[in-house]
Amino acid sequence: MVDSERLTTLAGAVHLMDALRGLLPALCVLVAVLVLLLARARLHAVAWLGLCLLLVGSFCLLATTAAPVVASRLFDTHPDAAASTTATLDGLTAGLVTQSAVLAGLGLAMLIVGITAGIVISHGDGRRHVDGYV
Amino acid sequence: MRVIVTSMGLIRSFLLAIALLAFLVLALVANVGVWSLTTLVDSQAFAATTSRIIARPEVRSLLADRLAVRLTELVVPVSGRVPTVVRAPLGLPRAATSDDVRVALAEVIEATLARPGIVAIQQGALEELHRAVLELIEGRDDAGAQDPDIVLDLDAVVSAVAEQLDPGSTGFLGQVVPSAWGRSPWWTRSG
Repeated sequence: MVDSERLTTLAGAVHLMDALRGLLPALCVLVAVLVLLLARARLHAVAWLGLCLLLVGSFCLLATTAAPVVASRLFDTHPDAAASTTATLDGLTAGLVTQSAVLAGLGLAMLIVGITAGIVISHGDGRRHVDGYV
Repeated sequence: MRVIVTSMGLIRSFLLAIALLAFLVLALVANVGVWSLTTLVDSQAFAATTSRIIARPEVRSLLADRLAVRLTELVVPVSGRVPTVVRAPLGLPRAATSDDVRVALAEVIEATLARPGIVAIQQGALEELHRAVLELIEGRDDAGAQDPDIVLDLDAVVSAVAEQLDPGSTGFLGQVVPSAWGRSPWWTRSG
Protein backbone atom coordinates (compact mmCIF):
# COMPACT_ATOMS: atom_id res chain seq x y z
CA MET A 1 0.00 0.00 0.00
CA VAL A 2 1.28 3.42 -0.92
CA ASP A 3 0.04 6.59 0.77
CA SER A 4 -1.45 8.50 -2.13
CA GLU A 5 -1.09 11.90 -0.47
CA ARG A 6 2.71 11.68 -0.40
CA LEU A 7 2.74 10.02 -3.78
CA THR A 8 0.63 12.78 -5.33
CA THR A 9 2.98 15.46 -4.01
CA LEU A 10 6.02 13.64 -5.39
CA ALA A 11 4.43 12.69 -8.65
CA GLY A 12 3.01 16.21 -9.11
CA ALA A 13 6.57 17.50 -9.49
CA VAL A 14 7.36 14.66 -11.88
CA HIS A 15 4.25 15.48 -13.88
CA LEU A 16 5.37 19.10 -14.16
CA MET A 17 8.68 17.85 -15.53
CA ASP A 18 6.73 15.81 -18.05
CA ALA A 19 4.87 18.91 -19.18
CA LEU A 20 8.20 20.70 -19.72
CA ARG A 21 9.85 17.66 -21.33
CA GLY A 22 11.44 19.09 -24.48
CA LEU A 23 11.24 22.69 -23.40
CA LEU A 24 13.92 22.68 -20.69
CA PRO A 25 16.83 21.24 -22.72
CA ALA A 26 15.86 23.48 -25.67
CA LEU A 27 15.78 26.53 -23.39
CA CYS A 28 19.19 25.50 -22.04
CA VAL A 29 20.68 25.44 -25.53
CA LEU A 30 19.04 28.78 -26.32
CA VAL A 31 20.54 30.44 -23.24
CA ALA A 32 23.96 28.91 -24.04
CA VAL A 33 23.79 30.42 -27.53
CA LEU A 34 22.79 33.77 -25.98
CA VAL A 35 25.81 33.59 -23.67
CA LEU A 36 28.11 32.91 -26.65
CA LEU A 37 26.59 35.83 -28.57
CA LEU A 38 26.88 38.26 -25.69
CA ALA A 39 30.46 37.32 -24.77
CA ARG A 40 33.37 39.32 -26.12
CA ALA A 41 35.73 36.34 -25.80
CA ARG A 42 33.85 33.27 -27.06
CA LEU A 43 36.38 30.81 -25.72
CA HIS A 44 36.06 32.26 -22.23
CA ALA A 45 32.30 31.91 -22.57
CA VAL A 46 32.74 28.24 -23.52
CA ALA A 47 34.85 27.81 -20.39
CA TRP A 48 32.18 29.53 -18.26
CA LEU A 49 29.43 27.32 -19.74
CA GLY A 50 31.63 24.30 -19.07
CA LEU A 51 32.08 25.40 -15.47
CA CYS A 52 28.29 25.69 -15.11
CA LEU A 53 27.78 22.17 -16.49
CA LEU A 54 30.54 20.84 -14.24
CA LEU A 55 28.88 22.45 -11.22
CA VAL A 56 25.44 21.08 -12.13
CA GLY A 57 26.79 17.58 -12.80
CA SER A 58 28.82 17.53 -9.59
CA PHE A 59 25.93 18.85 -7.52
CA CYS A 60 23.53 16.20 -8.90
CA LEU A 61 26.14 13.48 -8.37
CA LEU A 62 26.68 14.63 -4.80
CA ALA A 63 22.94 14.86 -4.13
CA THR A 64 22.18 11.41 -5.57
CA THR A 65 25.07 9.87 -3.64
CA ALA A 66 24.04 11.51 -0.39
CA ALA A 67 20.27 10.99 -0.82
CA PRO A 68 20.16 7.29 0.22
CA VAL A 69 22.20 7.98 3.36
CA VAL A 70 20.12 11.01 4.35
CA ALA A 71 16.79 9.34 3.53
CA SER A 72 17.57 6.18 5.48
CA ARG A 73 18.44 8.32 8.52
CA LEU A 74 15.38 10.53 8.15
CA PHE A 75 12.61 8.03 7.43
CA ASP A 76 13.47 4.66 8.95
CA THR A 77 15.37 3.66 12.02
CA HIS A 78 14.99 -0.11 11.54
CA PRO A 79 18.16 -1.54 9.92
CA ASP A 80 16.21 -3.67 7.41
CA ALA A 81 14.05 -0.75 6.35
CA ALA A 82 17.11 1.51 6.12
CA ALA A 83 18.93 -0.99 3.90
CA SER A 84 15.83 -1.31 1.75
CA THR A 85 15.45 2.48 1.44
CA THR A 86 19.11 2.81 0.48
CA ALA A 87 18.81 0.05 -2.14
CA THR A 88 15.61 1.57 -3.55
CA LEU A 89 17.08 5.06 -3.89
CA ASP A 90 20.30 3.62 -5.32
CA GLY A 91 18.34 1.79 -8.00
CA LEU A 92 16.04 4.70 -8.71
CA THR A 93 18.80 7.30 -9.07
CA ALA A 94 21.22 5.11 -11.04
CA GLY A 95 20.12 6.82 -14.26
CA LEU A 96 20.57 10.28 -12.78
CA VAL A 97 24.09 9.36 -11.59
CA THR A 98 25.11 8.29 -15.11
CA GLN A 99 23.50 11.34 -16.69
CA SER A 100 25.11 13.73 -14.20
CA ALA A 101 28.51 12.09 -14.68
CA VAL A 102 28.19 12.61 -18.46
CA LEU A 103 27.16 16.23 -17.90
CA ALA A 104 30.06 16.86 -15.52
CA GLY A 105 32.46 15.22 -18.00
CA LEU A 106 31.16 17.39 -20.83
CA GLY A 107 31.48 20.47 -18.61
CA LEU A 108 35.05 19.58 -17.69
CA ALA A 109 35.96 19.07 -21.35
CA MET A 110 34.42 22.45 -22.29
CA LEU A 111 36.23 24.12 -19.40
CA ILE A 112 39.60 22.65 -20.42
CA VAL A 113 39.06 23.43 -24.11
CA GLY A 114 37.92 26.98 -23.31
CA ILE A 115 40.85 27.78 -21.03
CA THR A 116 43.52 26.02 -23.12
CA ALA A 117 42.34 27.46 -26.44
CA GLY A 118 42.05 30.89 -24.82
CA ILE A 119 45.64 30.69 -23.62
CA VAL A 120 46.94 29.41 -26.98
CA ILE A 121 45.12 32.09 -28.97
CA SER A 122 46.11 34.93 -26.65
CA HIS A 123 49.71 33.65 -26.80
CA GLY A 124 49.52 33.70 -30.62
CA ASP A 125 48.10 37.23 -30.55
CA GLY A 126 50.91 38.28 -28.28
CA ARG A 127 53.51 36.87 -30.65
CA ARG A 128 51.91 38.63 -33.63
CA HIS A 129 51.91 41.83 -31.59
CA VAL A 130 55.62 41.40 -30.79
CA ASP A 131 56.41 40.47 -34.46
CA GLY A 132 54.62 43.62 -35.57
CA TYR A 133 56.92 45.73 -33.43
CA VAL A 134 59.98 43.86 -34.71
CA MET B 1 30.89 58.89 -26.16
CA ARG B 2 33.25 56.94 -23.91
CA VAL B 3 30.59 56.97 -21.15
CA ILE B 4 28.03 55.44 -23.54
CA VAL B 5 30.49 52.73 -24.62
CA THR B 6 31.34 51.95 -20.98
CA SER B 7 27.64 51.79 -20.05
CA MET B 8 26.93 49.47 -22.98
CA GLY B 9 29.81 47.26 -21.86
CA LEU B 10 28.45 47.17 -18.32
CA ILE B 11 24.96 46.30 -19.53
CA ARG B 12 26.39 43.58 -21.76
CA SER B 13 28.42 42.13 -18.87
CA PHE B 14 25.37 42.26 -16.62
CA LEU B 15 23.23 40.48 -19.23
CA LEU B 16 25.98 37.91 -19.68
CA ALA B 17 26.07 37.23 -15.95
CA ILE B 18 22.26 36.89 -15.84
CA ALA B 19 22.32 34.52 -18.85
CA LEU B 20 25.03 32.39 -17.24
CA LEU B 21 23.02 32.21 -14.00
CA ALA B 22 19.90 31.26 -15.97
CA PHE B 23 21.91 28.58 -17.80
CA LEU B 24 23.10 27.17 -14.47
CA VAL B 25 19.56 26.91 -13.09
CA LEU B 26 18.08 25.62 -16.35
CA ALA B 27 20.80 22.98 -16.74
CA LEU B 28 20.07 21.74 -13.22
CA VAL B 29 16.31 21.55 -13.76
CA ALA B 30 16.71 20.04 -17.25
CA ASN B 31 19.05 17.34 -15.91
CA VAL B 32 16.54 16.27 -13.26
CA GLY B 33 13.66 16.69 -15.73
CA VAL B 34 15.17 14.43 -18.37
CA TRP B 35 15.97 11.80 -15.74
CA SER B 36 12.44 11.89 -14.31
CA LEU B 37 11.04 11.63 -17.82
CA THR B 38 13.09 8.57 -18.72
CA THR B 39 12.80 6.86 -15.33
CA LEU B 40 9.61 7.88 -13.54
CA VAL B 41 7.06 9.19 -16.02
CA ASP B 42 7.13 6.43 -18.63
CA SER B 43 5.20 3.38 -17.33
CA GLN B 44 7.45 0.74 -18.93
CA ALA B 45 10.66 2.46 -17.83
CA PHE B 46 9.24 2.84 -14.32
CA ALA B 47 8.29 -0.85 -14.19
CA ALA B 48 11.72 -1.92 -15.46
CA THR B 49 13.51 0.28 -12.91
CA THR B 50 11.29 -0.84 -10.06
CA SER B 51 11.71 -4.50 -11.03
CA ARG B 52 15.47 -4.04 -10.84
CA ILE B 53 15.01 -2.47 -7.42
CA ILE B 54 12.78 -5.32 -6.20
CA ALA B 55 15.41 -7.80 -7.42
CA ARG B 56 17.79 -6.42 -4.80
CA PRO B 57 17.96 -8.75 -1.77
CA GLU B 58 17.31 -5.99 0.82
CA VAL B 59 14.15 -4.78 -0.92
CA ARG B 60 12.95 -8.32 -1.72
CA SER B 61 13.35 -9.25 1.93
CA LEU B 62 11.34 -6.24 3.12
CA LEU B 63 8.61 -6.82 0.52
CA ALA B 64 8.40 -10.50 1.52
CA ASP B 65 8.09 -9.51 5.19
CA ARG B 66 5.29 -7.01 4.50
CA LEU B 67 3.42 -9.46 2.28
CA ALA B 68 3.85 -12.24 4.84
CA VAL B 69 2.38 -10.03 7.58
CA ARG B 70 -0.67 -9.28 5.42
CA LEU B 71 -1.13 -12.92 4.40
CA THR B 72 -0.76 -14.12 7.99
CA GLU B 73 -3.54 -11.71 9.00
CA LEU B 74 -5.69 -13.33 6.32
CA VAL B 75 -5.01 -17.01 6.98
CA VAL B 76 -4.58 -17.14 10.77
CA PRO B 77 -7.79 -16.53 12.75
CA VAL B 78 -7.90 -13.88 15.48
CA SER B 79 -7.98 -16.67 18.09
CA GLY B 80 -4.33 -17.37 17.14
CA ARG B 81 -4.84 -21.09 16.51
CA VAL B 82 -3.16 -21.97 13.24
CA PRO B 83 -5.40 -24.26 11.11
CA THR B 84 -3.94 -27.52 9.80
CA VAL B 85 -4.60 -26.44 6.21
CA VAL B 86 -2.14 -23.58 6.84
CA ARG B 87 0.41 -25.48 8.95
CA ALA B 88 0.81 -28.54 6.73
CA PRO B 89 2.09 -26.92 3.50
CA LEU B 90 4.48 -24.76 5.50
CA GLY B 91 5.78 -27.80 7.47
CA LEU B 92 5.01 -26.22 10.84
CA PRO B 93 4.33 -28.17 14.07
CA ARG B 94 0.91 -28.33 15.74
CA ALA B 95 1.94 -25.71 18.33
CA ALA B 96 2.90 -23.16 15.65
CA THR B 97 1.95 -19.55 16.29
CA SER B 98 1.03 -16.81 13.85
CA ASP B 99 4.62 -15.52 14.11
CA ASP B 100 5.90 -18.91 12.90
CA VAL B 101 3.47 -18.73 9.98
CA ARG B 102 4.65 -15.21 9.15
CA VAL B 103 8.34 -16.19 9.21
CA ALA B 104 7.73 -19.34 7.13
CA LEU B 105 5.61 -17.43 4.63
CA ALA B 106 8.23 -14.68 4.35
CA GLU B 107 10.88 -17.27 3.44
CA VAL B 108 8.65 -18.84 0.77
CA ILE B 109 7.66 -15.44 -0.66
CA GLU B 110 11.29 -14.31 -0.79
CA ALA B 111 12.24 -17.48 -2.65
CA THR B 112 9.30 -16.96 -5.03
CA LEU B 113 10.22 -13.35 -5.71
CA ALA B 114 13.75 -14.50 -6.59
CA ARG B 115 12.42 -16.77 -9.37
CA PRO B 116 13.15 -15.38 -12.86
CA GLY B 117 9.62 -16.09 -14.10
CA ILE B 118 8.07 -13.81 -11.52
CA VAL B 119 9.75 -10.70 -12.98
CA ALA B 120 7.29 -10.47 -15.89
CA ILE B 121 4.35 -10.71 -13.44
CA GLN B 122 5.86 -7.98 -11.27
CA GLN B 123 6.43 -5.74 -14.26
CA GLY B 124 2.78 -6.07 -15.29
CA ALA B 125 1.60 -5.19 -11.77
CA LEU B 126 4.03 -2.28 -11.55
CA GLU B 127 2.91 -0.87 -14.90
CA GLU B 128 -0.69 -1.04 -13.67
CA LEU B 129 0.30 0.70 -10.43
CA HIS B 130 2.10 3.42 -12.38
CA ARG B 131 -0.89 4.02 -14.63
CA ALA B 132 -3.13 4.22 -11.55
CA VAL B 133 -0.83 6.82 -10.00
CA LEU B 134 -0.79 8.90 -13.19
CA GLU B 135 -4.57 8.67 -13.48
CA LEU B 136 -4.92 9.77 -9.87
CA ILE B 137 -2.66 12.76 -10.47
CA GLU B 138 -4.51 13.74 -13.62
CA GLY B 139 -7.83 13.33 -11.78
CA ARG B 140 -9.05 10.72 -14.27
CA ASP B 141 -9.54 7.98 -11.66
CA ASP B 142 -12.97 8.08 -9.98
CA ALA B 143 -12.16 5.05 -7.80
CA GLY B 144 -8.98 6.76 -6.62
CA ALA B 145 -10.97 9.71 -5.38
CA GLN B 146 -13.07 7.44 -3.19
CA ASP B 147 -10.20 5.22 -2.04
CA PRO B 148 -7.27 7.39 -0.94
CA ASP B 149 -4.74 4.51 -1.17
CA ILE B 150 -3.14 2.91 -4.18
CA VAL B 151 -2.56 -0.83 -3.94
CA LEU B 152 0.18 -2.75 -5.73
CA ASP B 153 -1.59 -5.84 -7.06
CA LEU B 154 0.56 -8.80 -6.00
CA ASP B 155 -2.13 -11.49 -6.46
CA ALA B 156 -0.01 -13.21 -9.10
CA VAL B 157 2.91 -13.42 -6.67
CA VAL B 158 0.62 -14.85 -3.99
CA SER B 159 -0.72 -17.41 -6.47
CA ALA B 160 2.87 -18.41 -7.32
CA VAL B 161 3.59 -18.83 -3.60
CA ALA B 162 0.47 -21.00 -3.23
CA GLU B 163 1.53 -23.14 -6.17
CA GLN B 164 5.01 -23.55 -4.68
CA LEU B 165 3.60 -24.56 -1.29
CA ASP B 166 1.06 -27.02 -2.63
CA PRO B 167 1.83 -27.99 -6.23
CA GLY B 168 -0.93 -29.71 -8.18
CA SER B 169 -3.77 -28.17 -6.24
CA THR B 170 -4.97 -24.67 -5.57
CA GLY B 171 -3.31 -24.73 -2.11
CA PHE B 172 -4.54 -22.98 1.00
CA LEU B 173 -3.51 -19.60 -0.33
CA GLY B 174 -5.04 -20.40 -3.69
CA GLN B 175 -8.40 -20.96 -2.00
CA VAL B 176 -8.40 -17.71 -0.11
CA VAL B 177 -6.23 -15.37 -2.12
CA PRO B 178 -6.83 -13.45 -4.34
CA SER B 179 -10.58 -13.96 -3.77
CA ALA B 180 -10.30 -12.95 -0.12
CA TRP B 181 -7.44 -10.47 -0.57
CA GLY B 182 -8.34 -7.32 1.25
CA ARG B 183 -11.85 -8.58 2.03
CA SER B 184 -13.17 -10.98 4.67
CA PRO B 185 -10.91 -13.77 5.97
CA TRP B 186 -11.21 -17.13 4.18
CA TRP B 187 -12.56 -19.07 7.16
CA THR B 188 -15.56 -16.77 7.46
CA ARG B 189 -16.19 -17.17 3.74
CA SER B 190 -15.85 -20.96 3.70
CA GLY B 191 -17.45 -21.57 7.10
